Amino acid sequence: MKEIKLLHLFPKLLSLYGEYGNVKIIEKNLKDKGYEANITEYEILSDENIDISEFDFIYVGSGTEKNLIEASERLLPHKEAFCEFISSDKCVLASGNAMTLFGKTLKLKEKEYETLGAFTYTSEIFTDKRFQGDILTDDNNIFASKLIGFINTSAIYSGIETPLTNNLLGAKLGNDKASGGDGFISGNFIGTQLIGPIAVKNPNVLAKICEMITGESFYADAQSNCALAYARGLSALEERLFSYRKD
Amino acid sequence: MKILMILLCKLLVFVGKLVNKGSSLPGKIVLKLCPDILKRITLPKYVIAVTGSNGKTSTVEMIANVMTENGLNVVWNKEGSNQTEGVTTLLLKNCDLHGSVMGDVVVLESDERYARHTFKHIKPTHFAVTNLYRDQLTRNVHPFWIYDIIKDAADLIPDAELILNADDPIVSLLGKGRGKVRYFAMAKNAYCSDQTDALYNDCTYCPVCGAPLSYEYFHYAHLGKFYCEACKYSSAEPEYVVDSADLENKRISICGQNIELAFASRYNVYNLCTAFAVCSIVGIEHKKIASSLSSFIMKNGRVVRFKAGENEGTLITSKHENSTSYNQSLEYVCASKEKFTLAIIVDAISRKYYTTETSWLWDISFEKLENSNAEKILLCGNYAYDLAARFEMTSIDPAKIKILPDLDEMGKEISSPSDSALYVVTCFSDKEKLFSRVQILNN
Repeated sequence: MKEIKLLHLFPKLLSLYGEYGNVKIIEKNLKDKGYEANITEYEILSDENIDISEFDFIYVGSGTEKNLIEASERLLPHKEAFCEFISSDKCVLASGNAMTLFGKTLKLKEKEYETLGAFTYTSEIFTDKRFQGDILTDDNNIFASKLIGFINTSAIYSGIETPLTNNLLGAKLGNDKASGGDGFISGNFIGTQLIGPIAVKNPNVLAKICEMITGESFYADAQSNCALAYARGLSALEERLFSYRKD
Repeated sequence: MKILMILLCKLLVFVGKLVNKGSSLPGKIVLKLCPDILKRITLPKYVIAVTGSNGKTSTVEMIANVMTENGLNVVWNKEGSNQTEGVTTLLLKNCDLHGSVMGDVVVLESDERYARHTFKHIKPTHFAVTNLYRDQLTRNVHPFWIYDIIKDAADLIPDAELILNADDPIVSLLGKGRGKVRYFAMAKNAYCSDQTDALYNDCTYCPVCGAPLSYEYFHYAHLGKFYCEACKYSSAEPEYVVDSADLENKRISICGQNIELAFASRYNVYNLCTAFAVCSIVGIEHKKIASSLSSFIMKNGRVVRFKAGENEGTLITSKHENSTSYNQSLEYVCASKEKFTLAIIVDAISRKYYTTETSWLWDISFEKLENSNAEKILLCGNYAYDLAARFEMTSIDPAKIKILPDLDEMGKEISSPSDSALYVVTCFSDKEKLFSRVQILNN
């Protein structure tokens, strides 16, 4: 069976909220379907020599504000390679505040940092503002389900025209902190502000990402532990949303 | 005005006791009427504030106990109300009518997020910081976010002496550029490793310059002897040292003094060392501190013995949303030499606020159970399937795992006849759900 190479970018620098779980479950899901999947970790340190074009998928997760700036600086010399990876329509998942690294600029304390520029949006992060809360999205066309999770970010985005989801619960926590639009989708690039192992929490996200990576159909197993946990989470958040609306 | 406020506070505390109301309300009312009341009262020579992610309640309890045993009159927040209002209540109810706090020492447990507000009202003479871990990230964001907040608090008290954990690269940062700082640490011992026991290290990179941070050894999580080749930031020289640790025989030594442990966990050792340092600073002899700490049994109910059916069990209370706390409990359970059943209950994430966030389960080293004597692992409560999804990533035999979302089912399961030891790990927010299904033994 085909070998699938998964790249976990900054597993130590950007590693808040147990997000390694995303790559782990993608690897497991691919292996369960017979693929020979393996994970390579890449911190972009001077002693690492990795050609990212060899990979089929890149994952990057959340970090502290300071580490996010460090990540943007480490990425910049590899701008061309990352932009080429994205334009070749290979799958990328950026969760939490990692989406900031793929826009044009990232601002912190009045200082603007150049980022990969794969897309035209910009972002600003803060050390004194935080946007946190449980999230329930509306039915999403891409994943054919509602998404559940949590946002824990200081980032505000401008210029995102194709958000990934629309938050019903946590509507004020979206990209611009005004509308419910959250995350970003373009081709096989998926950006979301949701933190943590979102592919564990949302079995349809896992299936879709595996589909994007391999080009073959994947389906969520309704009886899996992930699916049963999702059903519990969905019902709790729907109830929460209903009680808000009733108020 | 001052006398009036003190009397009002004492009256409100009295009424509060009659109607079983919380300890922060009197302080809240008095602060509304007289916002600078705490600046008008006279404090004793020592005002010690203690903060940190884990163990501040235990540490304060230990400090107060040692000091009291050694003849000092200690004013401390037993009820754990650690925000400005609670501290106001505490101090005013212990004031005489001249506005002097009637005690030799004030010991305050300070909430890490609220110390910067509390310190605007009261200036501690000493500020101890035990550790900074990932804790309740749905509110606390990440440890460096909390560090910034604690730094703001420390900056409000430039004359105070800091008492810091030299093994914690985040906490130690507070000492940079400060005049009066004392450090405590744990020396290398048999439990050290060249790798962290946690699934992550918040100090993989130097918190000062961002270069990779090196460790001579780790104790656990990001704690250990560290140094940065690039900027030379390194563990400070400690004045108070845990020279040796023998957990099997429940014994440690601090500054050459032997201390018997009531709870054999190396995670608790830093709290003991913080207490030792604070008590030494106020002038208690090391020998007497060690003696008091040895006989001290925590009253906060972290370890509770119970009976389920004919089975005797042990509850190890952990903090949900805190992987270090869970790792500590798991390490304790895994030290069991006999076969055991472990029930992990996650039914409500918090008793104080609403969230369904479960990412923290992925920061816990459940892999510690892989080579343990666990015979059966029960994943219980509302979040049983979330736990099960996490356990799928371990190499624990699935046949050992039972998923029990219904806590009544858990109650039946742990009560069924068994010759294994029984442990339950859960949070303060969920422990009553266990207690209602078992019989608590005299602890």
